[in-house]
Amino acid sequence: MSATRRLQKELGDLKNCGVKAYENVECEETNLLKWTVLLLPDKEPYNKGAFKVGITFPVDYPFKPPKVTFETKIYHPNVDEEGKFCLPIVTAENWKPATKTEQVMMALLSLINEPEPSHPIRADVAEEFQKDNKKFMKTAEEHTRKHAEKRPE
Amino acid sequence: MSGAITILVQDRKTGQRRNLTLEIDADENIAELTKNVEKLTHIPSDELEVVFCGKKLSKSTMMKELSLTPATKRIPVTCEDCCASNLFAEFKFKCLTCNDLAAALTHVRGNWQMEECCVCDNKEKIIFDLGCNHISCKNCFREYLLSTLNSFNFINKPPYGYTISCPYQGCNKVVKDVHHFHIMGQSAYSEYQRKATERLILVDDEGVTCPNALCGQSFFWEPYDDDGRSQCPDCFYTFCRKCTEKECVCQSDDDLTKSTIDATTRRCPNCNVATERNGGCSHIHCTSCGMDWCFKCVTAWREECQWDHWFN
Repeated sequence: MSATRRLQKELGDLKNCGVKAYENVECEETNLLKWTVLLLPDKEPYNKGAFKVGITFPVDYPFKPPKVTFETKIYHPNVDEEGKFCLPIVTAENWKPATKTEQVMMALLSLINEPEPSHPIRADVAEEFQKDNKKFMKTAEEHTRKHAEKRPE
Repeated sequence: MSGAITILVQDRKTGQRRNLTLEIDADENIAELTKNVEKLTHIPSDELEVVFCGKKLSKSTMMKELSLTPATKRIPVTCEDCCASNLFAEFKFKCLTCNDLAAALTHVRGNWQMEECCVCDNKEKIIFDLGCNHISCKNCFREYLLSTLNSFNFINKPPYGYTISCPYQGCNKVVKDVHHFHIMGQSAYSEYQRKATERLILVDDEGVTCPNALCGQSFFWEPYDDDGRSQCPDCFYTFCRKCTEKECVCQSDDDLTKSTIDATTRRCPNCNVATERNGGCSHIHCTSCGMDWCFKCVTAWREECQWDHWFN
């Protein structure tokens, strides 16, 4: 009950907030617990594409955190091949019920824009990021061009 | 005794009220007090009646007969047992049947400014505020507690015990008195108490769990006059704490379980819980108290650990 009301409000707020960093906030027609958001990072090498993120809310939201994964492939030290990543504010032990999806999206964007090679999920990519940044930028840019979605006009 | 007091003047016909501050003297009586009020309000003194602590005072009552203390609003008392001086009365409510004292729930207050709950955005009359002004309504706070109980995500914060932090992102204020957890209802509260005790026993050397298969109660043993045996306060089973048998079978000093635990674990530098590392990096996030520490240095996780101890 409370999940539905809060999700409706959050969905409305997120669609109308006018922030340029994400767009196309949508939920499944028959399921308010499943959303997709298109993230638009503003730093290289990710600023040439858009990245689709899937959000699944638990039934007891907001008392349990949502599950967030990348649906678009991304070459990043903190995101694995299946689109999973580690973001402290949405882990079970750190989750706070007052945290809004907008804050989660902003935290995820800042992780994408500023990789954290000291907390890597893909150790090989983190090593490349630190030791051969030029090569990393090139691979990531190619990867973005090949797999990322088009940015909305 | 002399000084200023505040009095409330009420017109009994219209119900109109106003506050007055008045200088008084111990040797004055009530008749003189009403004269002073007349000077300030132009209400004839013979129309004034003075009420103090629910009693109407006669015109001849002296000010010094009243227990008017200086602005502290505390009532001085003497203890008949110890005769200590400078004591003040403290009032508490208690249940006449079970003798339990009522605890004041300091984190619960009225929503004076009708602000929104930080979880559901509703404006409710009764709210929780842990002293940070991040307010949440009673319903949301109860749900938050129940969900935290479900996964036992409470954080161990001495001296408050296993408690919960403010529902607001990044706010570390905690509930300082677990009496507030009664809001979950009796059975959930009992479950909280049981689980919290079990956790505490794990991290404390003076904690023990009753080996009686039908009981399993967790309790603290008294370190005085210790003979190595304890009696469970719940089922009264008496046992040796070392071998957990009713009739002690500790032949020698070596206790394999204990030595195995000591050899394979390290203790969390914050809460002392025995921790085994069965894989992954050296960064330990304590499931008992939430501390981040380094398994190699057995200290808080530092920048150096990040670089040098990430993988052994």
